[in-house]
Amino acid sequence: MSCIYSCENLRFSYVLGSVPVEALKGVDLKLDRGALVALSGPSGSGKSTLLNLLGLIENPQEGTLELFGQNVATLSETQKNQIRRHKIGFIFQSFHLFNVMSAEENIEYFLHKQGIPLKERTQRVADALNAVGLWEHRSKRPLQMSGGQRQRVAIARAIAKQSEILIADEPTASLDQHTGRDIMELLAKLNSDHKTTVVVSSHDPMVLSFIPTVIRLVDGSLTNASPV
Amino acid sequence: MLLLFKMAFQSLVRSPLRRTLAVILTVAMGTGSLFIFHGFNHGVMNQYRTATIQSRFGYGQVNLKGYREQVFEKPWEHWIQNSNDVITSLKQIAGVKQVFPRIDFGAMLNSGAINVSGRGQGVDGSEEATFFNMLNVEEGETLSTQENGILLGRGLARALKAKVGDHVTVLSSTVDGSFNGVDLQVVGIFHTGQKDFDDVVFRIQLAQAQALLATTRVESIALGLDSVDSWKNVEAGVARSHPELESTSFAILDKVYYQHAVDWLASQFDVFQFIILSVVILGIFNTVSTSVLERKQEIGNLRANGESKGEVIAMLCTENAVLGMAGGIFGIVLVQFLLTTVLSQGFLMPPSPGITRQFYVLIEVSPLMAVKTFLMGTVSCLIGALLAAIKVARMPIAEALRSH
Repeated sequence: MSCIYSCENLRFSYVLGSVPVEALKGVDLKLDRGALVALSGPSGSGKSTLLNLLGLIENPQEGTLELFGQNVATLSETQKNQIRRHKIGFIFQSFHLFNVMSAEENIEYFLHKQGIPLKERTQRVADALNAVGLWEHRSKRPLQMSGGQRQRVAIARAIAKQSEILIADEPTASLDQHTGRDIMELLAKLNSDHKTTVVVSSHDPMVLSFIPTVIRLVDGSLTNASPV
Repeated sequence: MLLLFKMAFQSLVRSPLRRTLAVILTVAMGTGSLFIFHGFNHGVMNQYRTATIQSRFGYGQVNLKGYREQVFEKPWEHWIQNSNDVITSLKQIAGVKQVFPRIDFGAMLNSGAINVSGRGQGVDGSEEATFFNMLNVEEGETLSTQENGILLGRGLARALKAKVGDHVTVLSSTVDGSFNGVDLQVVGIFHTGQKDFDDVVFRIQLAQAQALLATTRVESIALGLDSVDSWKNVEAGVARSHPELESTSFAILDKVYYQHAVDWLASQFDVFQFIILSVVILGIFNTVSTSVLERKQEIGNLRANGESKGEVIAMLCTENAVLGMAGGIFGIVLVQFLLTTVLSQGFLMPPSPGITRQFYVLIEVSPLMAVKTFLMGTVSCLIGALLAAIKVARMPIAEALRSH
């Protein structure tokens, strides 16, 4: 399998209040296409920072991050926008859906922005909603849905986008165990059916039980940084 | 673009009511305030102009050239001859609806043992009664067809201790220098609100004044037009058909009171408008900014999914333009409603400079004014949204996603 992500000596720090925080202290990591990987570790270990870097929503400060063999530091803002629009899907702990749109509009919006024609959009939305079992709820808006349903809308959005990569930041943290398990089953299915590279951050044992490769982060460093 | 408008409308209809209402009401209040203020200004100016035209001067007057600018020993020698021919000719100029030949003269008035000097106006009573309806007749009736009638200013009547129905003798010298007099009956007492005018002026029929002064000439001819906008054409028409005459608009005739007051008010209104506009724009900007900044997570989500800063700014500006338009329309409709209900009489104003009576100012709005204020409200909303959108779009995506 070809390499999708390659990190070398990746470092990142930020200031919290007036205190400088070294979030990543030289991370080396390679991820192959189609991998299902978990970033695990205690709070403050750098999981979210690494996810943000992998999702191109933060820029590396030191070291090298390559995506599809291209150094991210050389990409323009427009190129990164295009990669996020077409190649990467996001699932967040607090869902981040548009409350003014229905479930199907939430999914369709980004397909529209990808420039996909109406007929294909409609089909992809229907397929994605069926895949996550929400077809009956397609007209509901997020605030009319449960947490699990909202997270499934987010997954359906990633399915419909046909993203090559899915970044999931604590996707089950706001859900009960049963619903969380359903979500993880969906993510695992997305990985196996569509060969989508899925990177999940979590320290929940239930979540980690679905993931074949768990990478542990402690204080900004990998403790088992092995290629997958 | 269609998607942007679709999202904007969805946002308008489906966003939390509090947020949508806050923006709409702020823009509505701002637009409504500006609209009503413009209407008030317009009303004050129009009211003042109408009062000036319909109480004393008409839209303007015609004299022999140079007459107004000079003082003559025998002014009647510089009055208009063949006035009937001139009147017929003036009536044929497009825009002229009525003409009012007049004579101004000094006189002594006698009532019983009281003698008071006054300033007489010989007028065509029946013609003037239909036009000069802003002259307030507080007792009796205005001078119209009463051949031997005299209409007294309030101050003059008090000085003469004359009431309606009393007889007054008007004494003056003829153009030949001999004394002449005429007995007249008081038909009414008027006031214009300008005390110096009301204390000395009286009106009698033009024919009586001409007989008193032993002349067939008229000093001036005031003009009643179909509209104030016709003045330029009428002025040009008079110059063409009567090169010996000159025409002067009411604004020049009453320069001290009318034009200076209008200029003074206009400058004052400009200052008020600047202050109101600043407050309105700041209010709108504050509300819109708060509304935009409340949506940092949503914007972070959009940016994470590939929206560029420009697209985010365009989306927020479109949304707020729609909100601004809704608020602007609401503000204007609200003002229109107020104008047909509680403000239908306008505002009761205290006496203005040189005037002794209160008066109502109607709020006079126009479609053009509505469009202007609507655009001001919408553009203010758009500017507020643009500044806030730039701020939020520049925020790092991770920070926007983390915010609450």
